[in-house]
Amino acid sequence: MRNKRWLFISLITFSVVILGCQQDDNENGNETDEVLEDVIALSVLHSFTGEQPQAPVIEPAFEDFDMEHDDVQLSIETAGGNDIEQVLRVQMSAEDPPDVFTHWGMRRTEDYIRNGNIPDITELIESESDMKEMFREGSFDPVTYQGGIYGLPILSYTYSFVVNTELFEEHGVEVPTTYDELRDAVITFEENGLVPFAANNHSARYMLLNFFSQKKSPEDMIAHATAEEPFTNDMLSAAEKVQELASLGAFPDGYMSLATAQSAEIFNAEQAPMFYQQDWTLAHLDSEQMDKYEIIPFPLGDDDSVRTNLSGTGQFIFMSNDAYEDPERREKAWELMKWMASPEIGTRIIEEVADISALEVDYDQSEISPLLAAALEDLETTNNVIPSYDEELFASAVEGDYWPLTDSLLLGNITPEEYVDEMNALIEEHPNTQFDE
Amino acid sequence: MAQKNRWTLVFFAIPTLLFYFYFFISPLANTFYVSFFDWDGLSEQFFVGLNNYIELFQDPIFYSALWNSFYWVILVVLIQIPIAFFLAYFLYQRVKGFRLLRTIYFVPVVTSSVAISLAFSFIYNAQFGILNSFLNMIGLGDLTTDWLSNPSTAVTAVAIPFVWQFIGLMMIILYSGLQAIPDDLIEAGEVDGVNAVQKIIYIILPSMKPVLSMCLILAITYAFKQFDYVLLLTGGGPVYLTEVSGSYMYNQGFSENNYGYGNAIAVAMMVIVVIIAFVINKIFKTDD
Repeated sequence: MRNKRWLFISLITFSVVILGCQQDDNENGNETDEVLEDVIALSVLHSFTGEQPQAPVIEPAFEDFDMEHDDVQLSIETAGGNDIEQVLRVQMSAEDPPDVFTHWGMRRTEDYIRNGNIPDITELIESESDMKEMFREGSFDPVTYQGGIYGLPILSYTYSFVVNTELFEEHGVEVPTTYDELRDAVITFEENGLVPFAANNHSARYMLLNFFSQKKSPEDMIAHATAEEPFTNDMLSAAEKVQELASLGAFPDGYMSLATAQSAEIFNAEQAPMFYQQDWTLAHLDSEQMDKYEIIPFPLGDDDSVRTNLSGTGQFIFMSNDAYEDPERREKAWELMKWMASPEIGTRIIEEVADISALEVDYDQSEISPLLAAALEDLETTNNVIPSYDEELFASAVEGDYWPLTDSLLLGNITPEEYVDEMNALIEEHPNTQFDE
Repeated sequence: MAQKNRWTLVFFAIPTLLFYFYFFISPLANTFYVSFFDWDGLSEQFFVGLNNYIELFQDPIFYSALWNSFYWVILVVLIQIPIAFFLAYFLYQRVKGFRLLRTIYFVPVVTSSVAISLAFSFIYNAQFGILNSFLNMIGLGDLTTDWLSNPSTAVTAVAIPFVWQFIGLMMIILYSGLQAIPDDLIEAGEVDGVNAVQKIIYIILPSMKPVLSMCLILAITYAFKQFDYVLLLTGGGPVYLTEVSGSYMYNQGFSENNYGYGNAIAVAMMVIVVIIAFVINKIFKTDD
């Protein structure tokens, strides 16, 4: 009987305590709810994480925004490098897009723009005085689609030709300025047991593009990408050159499946004296050996060629249409986009991670890597600056066939003539329509 | 009373049936349905009838990928299952420490394919890879090659991690099959004077027909579904050389955004696997 009484008292006490805690929770909950009502939740998806060279600046930049804005709560998801493509595609297809996300330009966002998943933000940009002037010339081109602007530029790109001067001296080879000299250098290095180029198939494709662009203006490049002008002898000549380089053993064994960072390792290991890649890879080069490295202009294809640099804007920040249609989320998403594309972040990108910001920013020369300084100087002293087909000008549907087609050329599976014909057929089937009004 | 029992059975079966239809049958039906549409996953679906299938049957890359998948199956039959059988037989002999060995052999099965791909990419790397370094070290430098790009080695090189990973799974299945063989059957054979090879060929293998058939069907299904090793090691390249049907389906759906076409590939693969499974079942059909 006594035990039952104690059990009864214990149960009553326990119930009272639980009830009291619940009431307390509810009171706190109401307060929290009130606070949460004022907080705008934004989902973010970006690719600058892990080993991505820009991660040390971009990842904390999102977190800083989150910390400094009590009225915004960011839910950040990351998908490193190219993985973001699949993640974004799935989220868009499931009609659950991130509110703000980073991505490439039109070449990989064309479908989203056409389907209305990414809104035209021209009005938002124009509402900010002098905003456009903050960016490098042409930065908005890859996100300008049929008259509208769809994203804010954050990262530019340029392709740099880096040589290991010590290896050139050691083997008595002159740094090449023309294709003929480059071919001779390749032969000499190959005979001496070196891999002439620390390259993968992307580097080889960029070389083809540079040889081709040396006789082109940006307008010519657009005319080819929109199928107004077919590719002819200039493409044939460029295709012959890279196929010849490949057949001479200019590229390492396994270059077709080599990751870009792995190709940089061959250069770092001094197994190769030449390296041609996008500027973000400069951060992968061995800082201990910087005194041996030099950035030189890409060799000229022939007497009619002019020194050319492939450069433009590669990465942007976007807002989803879902966020755009909600005025509160649009305001905060726009604030976040402006922060990520601000001069402050731009300066940090140049100074801290040795990459090129899409913004015209002042930076401390002494703070930046010597190679990046040389790459920027190379870019500034080049008259013919051409946007890359890979990054900007080809329609998104072209990429799936253009890459394997160029690989086929490099492997000698098709002749340069066949390559030109196939490229024309490909562009005819998928012309760039971003310039249509 | 019987009527009442029937309704009770139906009542209890409904949740399971609903679950099965929602999670298994409806995705299958959806795959079949979408295969008749041109769809990029974002915009409106356009009904194209049998166009995706017509395109598929004229697509040389699909045939190349399909051949590669069959090649994987051949490797499974010639390498994976025999090795798994001998490991299982080895364990069946109750050798010292067989429990530890059983666990060790099974470890690759539970290892992430990403980790395995990473390990094999280090092994195959043409410049720094262990395999080429080893060949150079033992004086077989002439055999070094770019394993993942050389047309004569690439498909095999990509398939080997898959073959290796699932040896443990096949071993466990075969081991359970071996344990199910009645001891008196083997003893009777031994009394009749069979040697070890005869015991395997005339007693053990015939007794394991259902298990072998299950191993084959599982292996073939896995081989056709595979895309991760291809994606992680070569991306299907160079120039579709290492593409298998699973990776081609994935690339069409998720990289090229041809969801309709990707689904048509999935349906074609399913039909092929079902036919193969049917044939295997016929071949291994036991009279008991």
